[in-house]
Amino acid sequence: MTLIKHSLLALLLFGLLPTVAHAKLHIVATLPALGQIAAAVAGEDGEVRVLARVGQDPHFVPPKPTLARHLADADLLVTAGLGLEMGWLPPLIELSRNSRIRQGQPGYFAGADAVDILGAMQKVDRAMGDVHPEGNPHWWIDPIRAASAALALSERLAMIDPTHAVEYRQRAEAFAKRLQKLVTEWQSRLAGISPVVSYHDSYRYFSERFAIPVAGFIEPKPGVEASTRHLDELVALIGSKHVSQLWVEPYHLGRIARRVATLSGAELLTMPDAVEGEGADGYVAMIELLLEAVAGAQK
Amino acid sequence: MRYARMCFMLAALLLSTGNAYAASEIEALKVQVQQMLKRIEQLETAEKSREMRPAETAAADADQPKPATPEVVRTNPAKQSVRAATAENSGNPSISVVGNFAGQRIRGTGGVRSSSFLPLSEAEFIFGANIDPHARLDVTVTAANGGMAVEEGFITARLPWGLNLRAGRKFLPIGRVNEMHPHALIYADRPNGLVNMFGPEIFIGDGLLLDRPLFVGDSVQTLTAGFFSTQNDVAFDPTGTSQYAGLARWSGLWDLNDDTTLELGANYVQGKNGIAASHSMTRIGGGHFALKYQDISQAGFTLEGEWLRRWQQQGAGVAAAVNDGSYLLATAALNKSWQLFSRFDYSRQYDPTTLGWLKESAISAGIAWKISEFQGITLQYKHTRNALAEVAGDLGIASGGRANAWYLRWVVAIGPHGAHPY
Repeated sequence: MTLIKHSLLALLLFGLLPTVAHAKLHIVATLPALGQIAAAVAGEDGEVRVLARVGQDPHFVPPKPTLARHLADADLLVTAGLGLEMGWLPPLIELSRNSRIRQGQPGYFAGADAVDILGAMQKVDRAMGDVHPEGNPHWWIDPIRAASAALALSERLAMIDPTHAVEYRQRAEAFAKRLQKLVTEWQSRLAGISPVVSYHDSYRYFSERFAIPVAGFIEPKPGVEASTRHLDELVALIGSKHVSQLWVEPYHLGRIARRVATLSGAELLTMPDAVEGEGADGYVAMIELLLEAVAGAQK
Repeated sequence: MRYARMCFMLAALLLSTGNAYAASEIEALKVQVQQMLKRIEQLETAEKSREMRPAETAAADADQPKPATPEVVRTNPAKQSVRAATAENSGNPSISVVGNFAGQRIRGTGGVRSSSFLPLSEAEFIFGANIDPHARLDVTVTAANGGMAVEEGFITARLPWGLNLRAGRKFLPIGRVNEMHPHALIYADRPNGLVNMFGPEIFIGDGLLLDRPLFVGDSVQTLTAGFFSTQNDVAFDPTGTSQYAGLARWSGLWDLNDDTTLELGANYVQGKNGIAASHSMTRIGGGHFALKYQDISQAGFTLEGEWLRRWQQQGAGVAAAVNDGSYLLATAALNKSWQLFSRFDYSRQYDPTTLGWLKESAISAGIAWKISEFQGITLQYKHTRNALAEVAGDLGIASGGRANAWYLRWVVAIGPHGAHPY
């Protein structure tokens, strides 16, 4: 009988040990680019899943209950913050019943908390459109802010999983250095670029980082569809300010953007906020794609 | 004498301190004037140098921002976990108001005519917040027809083993539509099948509901059981007296691919109906489905439907009344803002006198414009044939009659109104 007990115990131990030894952190990111930043820091010590898809509007991800299955066993949830995911993330967190990733818990990480925020407002009214009172939430388009977020994320991962703290910090440092080098190279290449017009105020961090003047927006106010009068004024502005590029998010590429491009003669550039790809390489590929598109259209 | 000396000394003291104070104030003013003169000089110099540069260069400089230095900021995220703007209201519940302005024009058999043009037919005041880490409270107070009532008010307790307990008044999770607030639906009316089953109002219960979502593979399965009292006078007691009933429900949602989901569900309700002293049970069973497709541009389509059957015992020796209510809805989203829809409603009622079925059908079509996240307009046309008693009463026509109805609804929301169920 004792032999059977010991055998069962040994079997249990052998069965469990490999699981414990290879247990990876379960990280869920709301947006693809955030997933790539998280993967760049977590490396082989974490498994990253992403809720939104490449090309999807981060404001309007359908809150499919099936997405909550990823959150149910997550150790860490990485969000953009500043209310960007407010319209779809809270019901998924609620459905997941995972108390570790609730706001205020160590398992909830908002990248916006780790970076300098632009566009914060003291007083906000919905007459101003779909504005985010705490600031513009599209910070990950700026590689330097992405680097800051990665460094902060490494500290959070180190807190949750101290055994791999050194590796998280090393990966974040390497990622930050790579982005810093990229920015230094490109800042000089894009010096003196002519003004651009964008559909939504999604590129503010990117344009400020690379000193690209933004002359106006196709949306008269964030989230508000343009009127004919606004478009007429915008076309006139494009002519007077010598705007050469029209930046559009993939999910806003439609009739209105094409019409403005045709009427104004500005080049229409699809500027994704994420591309397919793994970890640091995926994120860098997105930034390089944006930069090359901008530089190419300038020539 | 002594008093006079004291007065003299006090006056001298006051005079000297006053002079000292005035002197120090003058000194301070002198310093301020000097600083202002210095600042004016600096500004004048800057202005002169700007004037000396060519106008074009100055304009170009004004337009051309300077690149931000590629300095990686190191912060301690633990210090910034909550931002001021949200922290200010963190102790208060979220409060939102939904206004439902609904107009209708009905023309029915027998010369029935009625119309109303966009009155505020219903205003919902929605309050919600976590009570503590274990529970949440959601309350919806509705103002309609000159009165106010708590339409929903329930505590959601997060129990161990992934169980959720909802206690209080709630729209009952029967079929797909009954649990949803009308403003969240694409159409402006209530499907005739549900009107025949529960009356024109939503089927509400006061009691306990226990549910458990299970993540199985790529799907979510939710099991619900409940016990409640209801005053529904169509499915249960015609006098509106509270009756107790139990509920069991299953619903499952599968990802067919990144863009497509399939939902299936079934439910059963049973309780005393109070029509007679004995043999007076009401049983309701049914199922629902929803196939949804939405691509990245937010264009897509849905096909959904539900079917319910009600067995309503009328007492010993009397045949039970049997009713079916169903609908089939198809929607097409042209883009983020515009949607088209069409709905077919079908109901039938067993008639013991003829041993046959009385059948009612209706067809609807409409267009919905989502102006922004917080307001939308729906225009809908519905043609009803052979109306059964409940629908006939709702439309104001005689049973068996026909009606053409136009609905115009404008729904607006203010406040932090949360996401609607998927």
